[in-house]
Order: sequence, then C-alpha cells, then structure tokens
Amino acid sequence: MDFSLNENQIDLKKSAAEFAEKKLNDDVEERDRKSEFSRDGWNACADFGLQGILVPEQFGGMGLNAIDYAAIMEGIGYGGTDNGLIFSVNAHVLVCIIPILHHGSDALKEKYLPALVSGKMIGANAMTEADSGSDMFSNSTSAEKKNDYYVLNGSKTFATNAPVADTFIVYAATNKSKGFFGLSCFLVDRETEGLTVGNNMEKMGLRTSPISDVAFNNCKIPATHILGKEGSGGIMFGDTMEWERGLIMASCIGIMERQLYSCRKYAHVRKLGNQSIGKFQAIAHKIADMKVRLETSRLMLYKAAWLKSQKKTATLETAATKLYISESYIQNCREAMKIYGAYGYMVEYGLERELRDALASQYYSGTSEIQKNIISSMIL
Amino acid sequence: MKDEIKKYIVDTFMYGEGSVEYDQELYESGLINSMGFFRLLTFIEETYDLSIDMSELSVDNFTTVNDITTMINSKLENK
Repeated sequence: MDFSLNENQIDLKKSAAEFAEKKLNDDVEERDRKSEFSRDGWNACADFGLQGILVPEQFGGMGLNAIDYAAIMEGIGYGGTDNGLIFSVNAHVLVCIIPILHHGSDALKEKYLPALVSGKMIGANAMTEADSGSDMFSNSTSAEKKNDYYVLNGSKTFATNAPVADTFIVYAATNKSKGFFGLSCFLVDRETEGLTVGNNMEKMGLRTSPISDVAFNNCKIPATHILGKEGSGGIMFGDTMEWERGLIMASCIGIMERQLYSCRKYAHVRKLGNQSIGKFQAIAHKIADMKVRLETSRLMLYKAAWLKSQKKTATLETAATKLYISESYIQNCREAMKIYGAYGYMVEYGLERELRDALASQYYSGTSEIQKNIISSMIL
Repeated sequence: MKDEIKKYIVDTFMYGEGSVEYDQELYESGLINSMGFFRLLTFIEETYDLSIDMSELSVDNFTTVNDITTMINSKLENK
C-alpha cells in the first residue's frame, strides 16, 4: 500500500495551484455579487488542460486517470478562489464529457470531445426534474422513437452550466414500464428546435456557476445522438454519478488545505492581550479538528479516485466520499470563520463566500440524505 | 457460478426466502432495483476479480442469471 502521489502528480498539483492563483482569481468578489460566469476563466482552464485531463490525447486531452484528476483539482482548489467556475468545470468534465467518453459512439466522440476539451463548447447535464428531484426513475421526460430520430418532451431543472451550454446530456424514459432499463441518455445540441433554456437562477453560493431550467418541446433528436444502447440510461447515470461523487470534492480538499494554512497563520499573528490566539485551546482545538477532517477527507478522495482509476464499480465508496467530504468541508468553513471572529463574517476576508459555496455541496450530485440512502441500500 | 449468483440474489434481495429461476427477469418484477443492480455488479467484480466496464452492460446481457453468467464467462475468457 502506498499513500503517496508520484512525482508527476505532485508537479501537476503544484502547477495547477500556481495557474489558478495567477489566472482565476481576478474580481471574484465582484463576479460573485453579480452572479457572473467568467468565459475568460473558462478558456484559461481549457488552455491549461483542465477540461481534457481525463480525455485521451487523440481527442485533444491529456489522457490521465482519476488519481491525476484528483491531484490537479486539489491544486486548483488550493490556488483558485472562484469556486463557482471550478464547479462548472467539474460538472462539464464529470457529467458531460465522461458519459460521452464512456458511452458515446466514435462519431460523437470525434465530433464533440475536441470542442469540449478546447473550451470552445460548454457542456451541461440535465437530469433533475422539479417533481422527482434525484429520483431519476420517477422522471417524466420522455423520448419516443420515430424512424431515425427520437422526439423528446419534458423539462429539467437545476442544470449546471445550462445558461452558457452548447450541448446537453439528457436522461429520458424510452419505455416507462421497464424501470431501470427503460431510461436512455441523449446528447442534445442547444440549437435543437423546441429546446428552451431558462434564465440563470440566483443562488446563495457558487454564484459564478450558472444554472437554469431546460425544456424540451417536441425536440427531434437524431437516433445517432443516443449514448449507448436504448435502455442503458440507468447504467450510464450510475457510472457518471460514481465519477462525479468520487471526484467533484477534490477541489474542496484544496480549499480546506488553503483555509487551514490561513487559519494557522492568523492564529499566530492575531493577538489578544500579549498572546497569540493560537495559544488558546478553544482556537488550537478547532485547528486540530480542521486538520483531522482534511486528512480523513483526503484519504477518502484518493481511495475513490484509485477505485475509478482501476475501473472498479464504487457505488458505495463514492457516495460515502461525497457525503463525508461535503460535511467536513462545510464544518471547516464554519470553524475558519469562528477562528477569524467577526472579521470572518466580513465579506472582504472571503470566508463567508467560501461557506456559502460550501453549503451547496450538501445538495449537488445528490443531497447528503441521498448519499445515506445509497450507502444504506448497498449494505442493508 | 450460476448457483453462486442465484444464492447471492436470494440471500441479498430476498433475505434468504424464496427462489429465483435462471431465466427469470430480475428488474421489471421489482426484485432488484437500481441500487441493487450496482450492488450485484460490485459482488460480481469482487467475487470473480473482474473490472466490468459499464458501457459493456445493457438490457441484453444483465437481466437474468443466465445472461449474467454468460457475460462473466466471456469476461473471464478474455482476461
């Protein structure tokens, strides 16, 4: 057993942190206030190679594995403070590129992957529906086969990146009576007649990551735009969710590391009377708790990444990873604010924004309650 | 192998009570739900030391004990 990253992964992580600090942090506070997505930041991420980490070189990517992805995104989270933009990149890679890469035809891969890697195209995933939430088998969006195309009808909500997306991964029922094997997955272009994208929804956190509804009204989708076989959407969704739940928190580990460093420094320089506040156990114990949560979270992240790099099914492990890291991340954000006292509550210190961003992690990629449902259903 | 998989399905999803036919469809009847699918997949990978690419799975090769056994044997032969 070896818990260490190799030299290449350490270099990638370091250069990712340097890149993010230099290129992604301008005007974050202002863009957060305006709920503004940075296309320049997106393009910079693409130039650095983020969107193509997991994509083979033949499609313009870096051809790296899940552990490399975790290491690079950890670096990005450490150096970058635009958590919304980083979240958008994660969504683009993990729930749009991954299903195309794993289940798309050669023609779809050749047509879409180079543009999704280069930053030219932005991808979104449309699964959640207003009346069924995370229960994809109760979804009402349907796709009816007619000759060489499908007719898509229904609506989706909370689709990350949708307001700026060029293409959508859409899950729809092709045969409701078949349940798990009655779902299919489609790649749908934004220009498709009958497709409507809603306005950007204003959120509490991750405000620089756009999100909206998407509606489909008799959209004609070429039959060649189905991913995998008809009826394989449930399997694809499970596959995609394992990648997302296993890796989406990697950047948050970087954020937790940065916060811990900042809190340690502050605990030394901030004095009450003649004493650094770090000398008080009330502060020192918070820092100890933050460190323990960071290290245990990191272990879970890399265990999940290792499983996916070995192409293993990891339904339980990735749900546990997502659950544990998101709760630890939120807890560390709260502790950081307390260590900074009233200053932590002030916008200019950035900690309140980090907490607002962190709270979203209890909801995206399945709520904490959904993760517990998954874990318990895998062992009960 | 068939009996091993059948026993796992009965023990796990029927709490050891009842039986499953080799050619019985496992999902439409509600015997195995979506989470059960991934639980069964994890069991197969661990028991037969396989990594199964989910893009290889479909309604055609993972819905009965017979289908599943055929798929596993094919994977083992190509290992």
